Amino acid sequence: MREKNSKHNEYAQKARAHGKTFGSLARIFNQRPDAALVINIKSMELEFFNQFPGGEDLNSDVKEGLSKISAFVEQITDQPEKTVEQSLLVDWTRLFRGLQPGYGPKPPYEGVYLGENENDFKVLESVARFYTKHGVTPAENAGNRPDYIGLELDFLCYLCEQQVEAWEKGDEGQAFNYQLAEHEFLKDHLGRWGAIFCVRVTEEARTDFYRGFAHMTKGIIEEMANAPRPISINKD
Amino acid sequence: MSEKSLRPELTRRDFLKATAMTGAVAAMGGKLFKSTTSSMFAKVDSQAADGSTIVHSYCKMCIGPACGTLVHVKNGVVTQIEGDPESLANQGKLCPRGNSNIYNLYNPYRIKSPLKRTNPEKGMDVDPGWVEISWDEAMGTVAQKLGDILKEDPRGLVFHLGFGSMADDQPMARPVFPTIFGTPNEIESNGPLCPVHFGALANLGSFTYSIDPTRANYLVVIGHSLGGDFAKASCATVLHGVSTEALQNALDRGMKMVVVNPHAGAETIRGEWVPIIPGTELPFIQAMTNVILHELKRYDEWFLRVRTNAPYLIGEDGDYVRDPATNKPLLWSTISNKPVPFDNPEVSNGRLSDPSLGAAALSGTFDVNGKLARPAFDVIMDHYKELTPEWAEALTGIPAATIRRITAELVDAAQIGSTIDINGFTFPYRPALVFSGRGAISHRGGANVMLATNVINGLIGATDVPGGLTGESFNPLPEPGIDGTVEPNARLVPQKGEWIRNAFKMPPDHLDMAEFYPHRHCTPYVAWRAITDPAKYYIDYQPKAMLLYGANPLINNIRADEAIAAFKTFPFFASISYHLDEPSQFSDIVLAESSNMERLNYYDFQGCGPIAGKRGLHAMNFKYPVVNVLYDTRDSNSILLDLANTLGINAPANGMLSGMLGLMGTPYALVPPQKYTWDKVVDAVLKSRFGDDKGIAYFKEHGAAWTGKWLPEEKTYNYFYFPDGKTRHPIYLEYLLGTGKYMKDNLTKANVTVPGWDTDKYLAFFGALPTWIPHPEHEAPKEFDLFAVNWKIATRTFGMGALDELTPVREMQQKQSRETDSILINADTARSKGIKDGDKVVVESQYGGKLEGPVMTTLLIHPKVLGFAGNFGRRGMFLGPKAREGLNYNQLLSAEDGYFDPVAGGIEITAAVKLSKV
Repeated sequence: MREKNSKHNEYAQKARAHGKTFGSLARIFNQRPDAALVINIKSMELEFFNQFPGGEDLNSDVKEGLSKISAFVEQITDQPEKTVEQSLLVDWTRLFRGLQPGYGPKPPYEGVYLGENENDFKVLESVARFYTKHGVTPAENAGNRPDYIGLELDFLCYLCEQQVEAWEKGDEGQAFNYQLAEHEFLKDHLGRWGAIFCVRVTEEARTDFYRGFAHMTKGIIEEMANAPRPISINKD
Repeated sequence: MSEKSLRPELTRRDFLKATAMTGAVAAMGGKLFKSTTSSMFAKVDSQAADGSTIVHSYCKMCIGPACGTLVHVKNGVVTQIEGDPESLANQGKLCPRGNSNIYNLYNPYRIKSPLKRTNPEKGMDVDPGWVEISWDEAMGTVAQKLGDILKEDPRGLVFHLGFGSMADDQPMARPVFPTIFGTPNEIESNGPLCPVHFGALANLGSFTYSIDPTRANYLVVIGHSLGGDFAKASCATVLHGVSTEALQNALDRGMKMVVVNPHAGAETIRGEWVPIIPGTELPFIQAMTNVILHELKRYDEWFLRVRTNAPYLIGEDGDYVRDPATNKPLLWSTISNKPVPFDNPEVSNGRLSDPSLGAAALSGTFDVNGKLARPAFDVIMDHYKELTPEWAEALTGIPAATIRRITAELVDAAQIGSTIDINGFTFPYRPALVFSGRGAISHRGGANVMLATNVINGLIGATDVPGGLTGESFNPLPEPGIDGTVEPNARLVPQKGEWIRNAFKMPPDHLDMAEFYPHRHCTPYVAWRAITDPAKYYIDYQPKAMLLYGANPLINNIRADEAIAAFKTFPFFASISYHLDEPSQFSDIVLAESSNMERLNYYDFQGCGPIAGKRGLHAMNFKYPVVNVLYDTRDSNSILLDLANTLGINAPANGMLSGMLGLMGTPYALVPPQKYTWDKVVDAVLKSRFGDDKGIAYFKEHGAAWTGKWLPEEKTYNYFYFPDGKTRHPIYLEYLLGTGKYMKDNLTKANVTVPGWDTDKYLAFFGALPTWIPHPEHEAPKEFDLFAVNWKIATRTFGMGALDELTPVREMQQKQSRETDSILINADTARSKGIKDGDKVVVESQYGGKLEGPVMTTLLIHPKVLGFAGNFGRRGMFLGPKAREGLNYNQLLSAEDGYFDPVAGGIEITAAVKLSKV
């Protein structure tokens, strides 16, 4: 462990941003839309969407996502909150809950996308093994298969939070381990299928809200998964 | 070590881009959610090996969940399931259905939380606009709707059950909840295509028949899959008590098996296949009986005289002749040469050890109080006189010589007169039997096939004795009733005394018309018509709510259109569902059911059929969730018990549960006013059996999932409990004749007819002896020149566990055999029609149903028959393309009034069909 320095703060800040990003996306998949969410959406000013850079300074999917969500905010301006809540809930249930093979996209489980048939369980187990290796397991209230997209995003959020904690303590070794885990998990797991699922959501979504978030999730996953492998700052 | 960082440096542009990207999403999250921190994980010891554990559980992929399993869990994920070698019931074996439990758990299309429909329009292909809701909202809505009905008129609730709910570890579903609610409309979708219970209950007092593979040497099995097509790993009580291994052992030791079936199933590899025209099983059995009575003249006279009602005197009206003073049936004593009540020692003292005792006449005509009377056996002799093998050959297509040969072999193998000593107890030994299954008895007149089976086994003395046709479980089931014969089980509802269950009543209470079909197992198809056309069925109330659990009449029964029309009439429709199958599609509220391996439960089986050479297992299985419950789901016992608590009917629920679960009179009896959870109930059961310190916590810690013991072998034959002349199996079913008279009287008094039936045609099925009445398929127009049949296959015996919706299982079925998606046709028949293997054809039934598919030519099917393996071709458009593959055989069938069995309620499992090339 080294003494905390300014570089550590910078890394911590970056990890914190990553964590909030993954955490925000995880919430979309893990949390049923409710009245509070609708109020929050309705309260969003259009200026909010204008604060982000345009042109090539922003990932095109993220940009498209912002545009869709912005459009959604406009569309629902005059709609009663209950109506909006129901349309979001119908869309969320259909898109993310895998109710029937012919109803919505293929459900968002890594095993479904990467493991054909019997390999489904091998993939599922490998995801669970990855979690265990890094000291966690889905909590009893997780309410989903371990390879659910919302859990995988939440796990990435967890890894980033651990990085922040380590950087803040000046524990470069530990921070690096979590950074590497984040990279490997994206490369070996979520990065291999998450974007494929998101494309299907953009095709099947009935609200621009979830279509927008699918674009954003795709952009984030692709960018993050394609990032170079981290190298320890301690390495000679 | 240098201080410099070797982390890959991003260009400033990349850095800004990445920052903007994460900043945008994080900012959005900050606007929308209170918190965006990780919240779904709990800490574990990362140093722990691989977290591998093996959990004891038990299977539930058929009705009797007897098979113990070992579930391998790695890192919290189930990776393998195998039969538990220490489980006495299956001894390490597990069938294909059991192995598929892993798919049941991780099926990505399970229902994950309660659902509510937002689109009020209902239909098979209408998007319900599902939304997930909380359990509070779901249960609150259901409780409010049912509470209103409970106050107003409990008949307004239809509680619709099917095989999905039928494991015997679901007591809240059947029978507790519908009983305490007070609705007469507990309607089952299972059974119309397999009404196996009537004959066994009538003759043995047992819910189903079983063969005795430990001792039988000769088995004539008619219309039933016993071996590889069924693939049972354990005794699984209600499945005719025979595991595949037990059957194999019997064949290995030399049992001969004659398979009388239009299709040569897996078991015919080890037996003789006798192809038969579908629906003519009754003439076949009757002709065998004719040979026994009138040609061979070799039958078990002692057994008939002492162990059956063959000597009971029958009057010219077909009823027992009764003692005017006591109303007891009379027999003709050959000692005093006069009629005596059945319990007079002269006729009731029959002994296996002294065949001269039990001196009742079997033949002759006697004057009893000025009226002529004959022993039932004499009536039977006459009844079968004209039913010759030649007569049967013309109907069945089986050569008369073959019928004669098989009959002679059966009688020889029965070793009439022989005895066997089992642990010092002497039994009659009759190692030969005739067994009739689903293909034989699922017909209009199917009850007659069961009666005929009972008669022929009674003639050779092979009823409920070693080697013969036995009851499903080992209890004092054949206890005699007031007439000295095996007490008809309450389900048979004869017309007398306290046995009346579905007494005639106008207007009827039961939507499934139990008042007109008092012995029926279940008649859901009638209920759907009564709901949509109440006037025709004399119904004077409107059902208000449907609560459906584990039933799929849209696929597993016939006339889905009628069921759909009825479903649409319910103002409120709720289901307890594991997956969104076709009926769930009509729900307003779906209560999400846990997977088999996520449930806390136990299964108590008091008596179990033969397993690999041993008989009579009494055991208990116990299970708890093998992994954390994956989603927001609950098991049906919990759901229904909670509902009872909320509706204020917990007191009768507790009382009924205490009685059923053996808690009454123990310190663990449920206190009526209290509100229990299902966990508490299971805990009480465990403690009552194993001691106060051995509740759920104990078994979870110690991993024991089952316990069991073998009964002493002599106690595994019900003859043991009522030996010699202590009971009599009725082979002349006087009370069925009585039911006919009872119905005739009541119909006349009420001036009504049975909806859709000509009264005389209806009453013709209520006879004391089996009578051949041609089926609708035998009277179809000549252009329908073939017959259609189907059969069970190992991966789809009860349609449980969503097996045919799961791509991996479906693909395995398809890989295993082309049969599952093909129309099987005899190769010679195909040639004569100019059809080649693989050609696409259309099959049209006499009832208008059509199926299109490729043919598979084979020699393993009768030349006049088209065969369909299993029942696939799911209908719901949202079930996906894989589930929709294959053929839904049931579309070819019909259950119009007048076309099903008015006694047992079975529908015609076959239809006359014609075939054309596409």
